[in-house]
Amino acid sequence: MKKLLYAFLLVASASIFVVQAKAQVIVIANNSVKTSEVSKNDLKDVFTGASTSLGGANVVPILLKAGTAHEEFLQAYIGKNDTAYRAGWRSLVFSGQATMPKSLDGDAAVVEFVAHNAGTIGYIGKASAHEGVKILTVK
Amino acid sequence: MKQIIGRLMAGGMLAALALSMTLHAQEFKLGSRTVQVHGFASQGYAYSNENNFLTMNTSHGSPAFTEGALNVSMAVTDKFRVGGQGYTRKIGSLDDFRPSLDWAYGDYKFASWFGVRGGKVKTVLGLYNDTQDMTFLYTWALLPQGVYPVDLRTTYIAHTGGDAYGRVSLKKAGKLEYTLYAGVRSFDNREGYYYYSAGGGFPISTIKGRMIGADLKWFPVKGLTLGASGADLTAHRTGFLGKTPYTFDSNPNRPLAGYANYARGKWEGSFEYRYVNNYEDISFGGATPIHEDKCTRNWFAAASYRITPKLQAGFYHSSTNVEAPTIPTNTASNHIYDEVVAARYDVNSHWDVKAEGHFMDGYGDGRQTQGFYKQWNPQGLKPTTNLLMLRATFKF
Amino acid sequence: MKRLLVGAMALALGAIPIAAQSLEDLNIQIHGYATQGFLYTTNNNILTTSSSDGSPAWTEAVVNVGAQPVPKLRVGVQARYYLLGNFGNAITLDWAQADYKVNDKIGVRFGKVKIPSNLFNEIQDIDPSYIWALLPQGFYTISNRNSLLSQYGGVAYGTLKLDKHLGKLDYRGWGGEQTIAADDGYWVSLREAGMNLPNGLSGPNFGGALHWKTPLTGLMIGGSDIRKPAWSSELTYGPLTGTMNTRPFSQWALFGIYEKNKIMVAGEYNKLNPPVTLNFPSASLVIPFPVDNRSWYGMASYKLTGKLTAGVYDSQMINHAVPLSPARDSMDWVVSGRYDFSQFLYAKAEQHFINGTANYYDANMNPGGLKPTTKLTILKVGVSF
Repeated sequence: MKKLLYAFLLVASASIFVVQAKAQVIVIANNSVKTSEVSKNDLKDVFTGASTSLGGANVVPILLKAGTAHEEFLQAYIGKNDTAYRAGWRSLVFSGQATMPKSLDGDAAVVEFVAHNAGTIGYIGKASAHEGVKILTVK
Repeated sequence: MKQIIGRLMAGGMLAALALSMTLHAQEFKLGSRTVQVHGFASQGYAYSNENNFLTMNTSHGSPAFTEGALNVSMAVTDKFRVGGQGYTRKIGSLDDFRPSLDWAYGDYKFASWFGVRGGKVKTVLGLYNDTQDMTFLYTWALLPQGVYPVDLRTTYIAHTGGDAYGRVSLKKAGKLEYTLYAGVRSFDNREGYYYYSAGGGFPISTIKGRMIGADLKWFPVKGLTLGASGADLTAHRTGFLGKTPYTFDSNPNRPLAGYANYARGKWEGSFEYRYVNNYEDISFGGATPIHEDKCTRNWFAAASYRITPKLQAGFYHSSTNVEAPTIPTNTASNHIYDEVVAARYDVNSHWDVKAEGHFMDGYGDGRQTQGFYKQWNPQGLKPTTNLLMLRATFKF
Repeated sequence: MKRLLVGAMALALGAIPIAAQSLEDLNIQIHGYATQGFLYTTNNNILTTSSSDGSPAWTEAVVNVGAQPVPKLRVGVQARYYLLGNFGNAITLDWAQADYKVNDKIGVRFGKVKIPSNLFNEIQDIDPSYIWALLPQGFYTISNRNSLLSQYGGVAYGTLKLDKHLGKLDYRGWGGEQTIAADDGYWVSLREAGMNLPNGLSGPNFGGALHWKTPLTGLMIGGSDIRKPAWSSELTYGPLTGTMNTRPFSQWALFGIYEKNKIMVAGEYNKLNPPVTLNFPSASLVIPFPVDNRSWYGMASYKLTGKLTAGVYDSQMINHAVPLSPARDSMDWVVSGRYDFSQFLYAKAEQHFINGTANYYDANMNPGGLKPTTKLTILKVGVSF
């Protein structure tokens, strides 16, 4: 019985870690963005150029140039690696359907930019400081 | 007799070097400076089922493929290097073991982005021109002959003149390497150019020319090289057709090359396309010149894989196309396609052996040296040739 | 000379610090890409190149400049240098447009705009955006691309959210004037027969497309229809002068694509049968120009590693207006691979197994006649930023 309980605790704690491992990136937005939550599909649409609005208002996606948070965001919400992701944006740019979103070095730069530019939405590592921006819950 | 002595010398050199106790590049001190000595010796064997190739009696099996080189180099100061390489070889009827100076130059590097070399300098053209003599670098016993003809080595491998070169960092975009050069061409009177001219009834009395060119290489990511080269060559040839004097002048002769090489892990792939924009003005007895088209389009694609640390296998397809063959209806004369399967075994860090099969279709146009010589194929040429090439090389 | 300049530009484009130049104060972006291809065929020469000898006569370079002066308005222009065999070797205007997006439901663009028909028409020229070195030629004929890619006019577009369980619907409607240039690949057979369209062929062009983004994530099913009213243009044939006339016709297509994680699967069907006649009244001559193309393809690709993608497609085009012969159809099996060295640099290798001569070929480069089958090998390297 003890062994079973021990095994259960082990699996439960492992699954917590798994859940936590998935949520290592958070989505942030300028305080002008009215909505506080966003669906996975809507988030993907904004960050792939398929949509330019959230909750009825214009939004502009801001990207990280590289790094763990960037890779995790792409894996969790876009389903592409960086090369394929940027190739998708280039298709839109070379078709005249979009301009390339801004890419910034590091979480601090993203927070700084999103905090001071209305309508912007970005993503950073969960542990990074994010004063001056709001967090969007991804459902 | 000379052949036998020469080959004994080469074989002896091979054996002596092989028995050398210290198996690394030789060094000695000259004052406070270290002088390095490197060298290689190579012995080959070729057998073909049909035509004789590269002036060797390959249809009966020929070991007449021997070459060796010795080079010496020294860093005189931190920025200034000098060096030279002596070379000897015999390939069939060519060269006959006569020693020659492959290259000899001084190299001053002002900065990583700018340096100059002067003397007899290797010519940077395409992927392998300046390293074509270093067979120990490659899987192949023979490089693609349409692009790197071994029978015309002297004509293309070096120029007497000067280079400006440098390497520029592009930060995240990698590195860019440039070479600009100008100089006088070398023509060896025991090499293919003279030999095929004599075979065609146009023995050469004099030949001279110059070359200017540029090469740009980009290394965008680790393992990848992308590049382009262009050169402008001249050749002024004089001689006699019977008793009638002739002149051949290239007008123009411009090889243009685009190339790529990628090496990752155990794999390596290469590609080169070379268009030779080559016209000649041919005049007999001072008459109005005939303007002859000798343009060729050449390319190869190669891949190799290191099966074990000592064993490598590879394949390449090489294509040479003659734009204006002398006899357009002779379809075998407007091209040479060569499919090659090769294996290389590194016995140790000094020895390697290679075995290679060539499956050639076509024999090219008789107005240009393309490996098949009339003197060695008096009965005429068959449209296909299969060639087995074996080669052992010692280097230090 | 142009190709040397383009080659140098291509190397320079790739070699300068590869970050799209962003003139932030003016919100201006500059992007570009350049590709160099190599074609080799076993039998026939293809796409007006000397491919049977191996041909590097395939070079492209594109530069676009875009600005977003206010959030809902974008303006931009894209220029292209293009060489494929005897086609191109000139700098052309791909598109130049102003785009105002009111919201996700409605936007408009006008100027020289890309025609959003079929599955890949808008991106057929954007080599960096897909795995293939050549898209299925029955649909996206590279020798006609400049003419079919864009037109002068406008496009209205938007996305409508359907009921929660029905997904989304993208719509596009367009109208304007399209020109098929005098040197377009469409007219190769005419030119080889001694005829010329000095002004090309142009006329009004309208259409619409619907893309249903289904509730199954990654699956889109759609259709498009292009309507062309009657077109007419001057035609010469030796001493004769006449006209090329088309009666009204439509060109419709059905397509679907599924993209999820590493997999892409797509298919398309297209019908094109323009009623075209060549009229020489002075000689009482009316020559039909028979085209009744039914084309389809199925394709799939899989991302094997972060850098390597492999794919296959089978494409068929049958011209029902041509009697039974190799000239009636073009069937093309393709195996392809793409390797992304970095986000800026990639290479493609592709092998085609072509059966039939309805597509790809011209008589001038194949004076000995066409063989019914050809294998085509393509190597391509591209830089984009």
